Amino acid sequence: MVRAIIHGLDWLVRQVSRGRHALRKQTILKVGLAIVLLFVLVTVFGQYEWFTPYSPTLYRDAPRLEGPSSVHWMGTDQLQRDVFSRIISGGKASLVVAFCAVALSMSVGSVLGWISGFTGGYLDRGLSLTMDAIYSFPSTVLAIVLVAMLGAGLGPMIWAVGFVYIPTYFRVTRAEVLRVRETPYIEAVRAIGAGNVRIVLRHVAPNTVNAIMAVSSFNLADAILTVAALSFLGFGLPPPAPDWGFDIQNGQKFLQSGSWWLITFPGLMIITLSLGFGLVGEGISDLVNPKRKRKKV
Amino acid sequence: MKKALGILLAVTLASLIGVGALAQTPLIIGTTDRPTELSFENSYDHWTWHILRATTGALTKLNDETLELEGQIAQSWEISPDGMVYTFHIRPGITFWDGEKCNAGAVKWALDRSIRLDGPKGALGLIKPYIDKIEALDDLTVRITLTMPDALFLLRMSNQIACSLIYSPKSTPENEFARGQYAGTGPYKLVEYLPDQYVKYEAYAGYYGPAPKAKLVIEKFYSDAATLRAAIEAGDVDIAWRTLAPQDIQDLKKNANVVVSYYPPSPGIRYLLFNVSQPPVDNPLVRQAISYAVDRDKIVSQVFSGSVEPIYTMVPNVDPPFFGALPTFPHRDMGKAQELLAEAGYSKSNPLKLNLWYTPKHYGTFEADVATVVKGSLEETGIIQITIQVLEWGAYTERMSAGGFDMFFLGWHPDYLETSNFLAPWTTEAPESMGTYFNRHPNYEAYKDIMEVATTTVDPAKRTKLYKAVQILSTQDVPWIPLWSMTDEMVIATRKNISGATLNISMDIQLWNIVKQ
Amino acid sequence: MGGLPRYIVQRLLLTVPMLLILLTAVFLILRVMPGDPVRAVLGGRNVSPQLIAEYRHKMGIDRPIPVQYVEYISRVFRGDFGESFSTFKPVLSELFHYFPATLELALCSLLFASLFGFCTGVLAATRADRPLDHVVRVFHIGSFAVPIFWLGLMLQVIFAVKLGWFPVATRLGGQVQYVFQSRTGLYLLDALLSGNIQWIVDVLKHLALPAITLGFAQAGLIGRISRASMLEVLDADYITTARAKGLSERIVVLSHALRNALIPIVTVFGLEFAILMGGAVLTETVFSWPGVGSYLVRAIEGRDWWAIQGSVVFIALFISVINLIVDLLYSLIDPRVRY
Repeated sequence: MVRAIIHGLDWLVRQVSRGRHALRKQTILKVGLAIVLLFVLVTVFGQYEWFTPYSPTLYRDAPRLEGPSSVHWMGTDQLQRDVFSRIISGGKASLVVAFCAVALSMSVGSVLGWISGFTGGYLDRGLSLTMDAIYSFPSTVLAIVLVAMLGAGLGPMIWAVGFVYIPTYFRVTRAEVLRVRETPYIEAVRAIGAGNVRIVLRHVAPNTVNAIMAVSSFNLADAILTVAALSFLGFGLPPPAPDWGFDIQNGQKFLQSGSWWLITFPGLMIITLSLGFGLVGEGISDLVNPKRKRKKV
Repeated sequence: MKKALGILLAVTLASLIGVGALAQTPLIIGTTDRPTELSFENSYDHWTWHILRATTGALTKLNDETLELEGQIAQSWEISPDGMVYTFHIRPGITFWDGEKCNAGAVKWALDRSIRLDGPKGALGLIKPYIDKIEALDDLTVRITLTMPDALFLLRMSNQIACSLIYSPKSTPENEFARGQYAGTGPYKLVEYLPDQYVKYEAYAGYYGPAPKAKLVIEKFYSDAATLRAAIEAGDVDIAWRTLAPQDIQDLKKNANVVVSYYPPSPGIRYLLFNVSQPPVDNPLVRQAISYAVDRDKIVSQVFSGSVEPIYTMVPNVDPPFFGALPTFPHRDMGKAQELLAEAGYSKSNPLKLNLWYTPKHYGTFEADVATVVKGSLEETGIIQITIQVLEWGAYTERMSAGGFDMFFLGWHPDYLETSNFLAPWTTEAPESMGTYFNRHPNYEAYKDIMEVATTTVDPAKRTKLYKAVQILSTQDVPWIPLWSMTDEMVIATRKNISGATLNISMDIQLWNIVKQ
Repeated sequence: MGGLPRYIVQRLLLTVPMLLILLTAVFLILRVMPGDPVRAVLGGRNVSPQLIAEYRHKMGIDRPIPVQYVEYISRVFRGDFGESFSTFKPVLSELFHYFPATLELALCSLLFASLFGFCTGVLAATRADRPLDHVVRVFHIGSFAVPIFWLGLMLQVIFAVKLGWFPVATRLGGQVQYVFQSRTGLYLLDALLSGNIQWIVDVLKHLALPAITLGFAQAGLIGRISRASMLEVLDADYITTARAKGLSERIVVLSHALRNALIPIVTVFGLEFAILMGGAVLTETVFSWPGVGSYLVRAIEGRDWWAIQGSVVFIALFISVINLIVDLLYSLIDPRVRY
């Protein structure tokens, strides 16, 4: 066990140093990470009232539905709240749900993938079929149906969004387990008595980690959009909590009156953050498959 | 003069071309409302009843202008001295659009059928308990015997109530809900109904009354107020009705091609309810404090851009007024609210923590804003902390009737236009299914006694007094806090070339009166 | 039985467990979670416990869950999806009523996505690593990050409200709607068959914004794949030969490379449809589009159990059929693939 941990740490250090080295060349990855980091910081600080220029939740004596000005950079909404303040604190649901959901699906999916891959037989077949069933179904629709049943709020959104990504990790891990399992080397390791857990930690995990990192970045990008859609449909945080998707739904009512700032800015936040995760995913994919990079004519 | 000539010319031209389906441009009405199912015996919603009312008639109807009861399919009637027997004389020569004659037999058949099928989603409760039997005395005479004398019976038999409408025995299945299979007496004939898309009507040539002005009508269903507004601006629809968003109404007023008309007041009300058996709102001081702290003006101005009216009693202020409407609830008074909260033992260090429940779609798209404003206005006391909770309508009503809400929003459209219908449902009629659990309130029996006397008393002066008493009592017991009357539903936006689209307290437009030039 | 028919049957049989799994999940969650369909139908007004009990019995949801489950599954396999709680019509016939709208929207958006994506992809590939290439690639990556409902709203406000070029929502204008005859439910097809120019224009105008909204993200995906596959093809030996023969670059691209670059794009169509169905829910909500997506959303709001289950099965079935078709199509285009 101790040895496994030491091996794990050793591997992690190698990955990090390799990553740092690669980062220097990876503009896409760097830009993506910068965006994500910025959004995380802004959102974390945005939860505190001293950080936002005005209160994001309480109405105050500001003009109603006023366009961007020097006082209210992104205008005010119908309840006289500052849009800018709502924007910078409104990423909480998106980020919390996205990270938790991806963490959830990553752990559940990977573990199921390992088990399925090593056990084989009926369990493997059953699990694979289940995962294929979930995978082939439109993820947005599934998330909407699930969250509608589970109820609105952070918890249900995490479960729903996390659930729909499980098959992705399951597939990646299982494929890797199957590949590794057949190698003569593993046969040998197994012959001298190494357990499945050990094989997973030493031989499977290192190989799948890059693929999983790339997949999870793309999932995070997708999760941001899914959470926004769920909030837009009214399954997100209860008001008056600031939330991009909810604010777009709200702004829809005033769009035709010319209050474009109500939906434009939350939308841009969603796009930028989702793009940030997408770029990270691109960057990691380039790292994993250096061929992709070279293939350019 | 020139204009009149133009109209004359247009009318002549139109009549020359004939009433062929293609010769005339249809009148197009847009709405965000939806019919449920076109069944007389199994529907209880606004747009379904609107469609049914436009396509067939009842024994009596409300006059479009005076709102007084007059004959529709019946041309006259007699009431026995004891008020137990009503004899209706059918207007001769009425036919359904499937060719059947509308005689006493058809009237009896339709009413009997509706009462027998009594769909769970229907409103038969409004007529069924009062009718003992219906007989066709001869071809044009129908006698209805009541189970009890009822001052409102002619109203119950009017076209305001869909289950009292008459339809042809030939076209509707005997033992299944109608669901759009019916033939009526006009003025319009239902041509096609596609759920979520449109309803098409065409004037029924055999209609016994004055021919409807617009020969072809189509009603289109929009998914939200924003697209409806855009549709009227673009001229995609001629009339936008039920329900434009407040901000859009303000904007449309500035549009030269659109006419926005208000027809207040509205009999629809919105209010806060409490489960009076659930701590901490079982304390009347707490409920009173909230009734002082709630800020109706902010709801009206911020959320509805001034298109609704604040109310201070559950009985809406309509014209002609209801018996004994008395605005008894206090206007906002922060000092008083803080005083009451202190008396109840709450302070800044020991705040009152409450949930506020709302449902996001059932009452339109502004519930979240209302909840936010109410939360803000209560928290201004510095002593109350509100957590807003959301549930979809299905789960909302389930939890409500299980008594699971402490403080929550609800809305009410009257079943019939009488004062008791605005006082009884939450207190004496259905306190549990309305979630107030007022039957566990110490004053429950007292309310019950008063309401019982009031609803059986014929003397209007005495009735008025009793209704007033309930309203005064309710400011002490605070089972509800009336907030606003839905005057935003009484708004119609029309294109410039449309006239005759008006609303009255029956909350329905008279399709047949609308002219498109 | 061998070859293709056998393959088709196998594939279809494989969808059965898939449907069962999805159905079971939705079925169970619906029954475990709060939210009573009876109350959602009857509303909150004066509903007596007896009426609720009577109604639960009528809907067949008063029996033990396993009994309901077995009965429902057996009914589904007989093609009976139950009756909607709110409209009392068979769910399947309602779905068939709403489906053409969704199909039309999905096909048109896919057409837009393919044309737009392919053109930009090929353009980028032929100008690889030049500024235009970078701009297009940024667009391809960025298009994924745009929330569909947001894009729909933006297009609405710009092109319908401000410029007035397109109608805001729904499938037809009121004037046309009154006389329009629909046989297939696919309005574009109906209009084309009728040959009525006014109808065709009206249908196209109504389709434009929703189709672009739904197809936008897919255009990015197809663009990326087109670019990559075009690059690969342009690198291939036979293209080099063509170039060596002295053919102009334009002819090389148009007559030799395009066809082969198309193949990988067809493979993503199946995937596309799954994503499109998800996007359709949101697009239909924004554009008042009466399709399966808006049907599902309404069913969810009304806790209409049979309708929710029915929609899920229907969508799943549709996706598997599409995947099958794509597979077969692939074998037609690429002669190397055999079943």
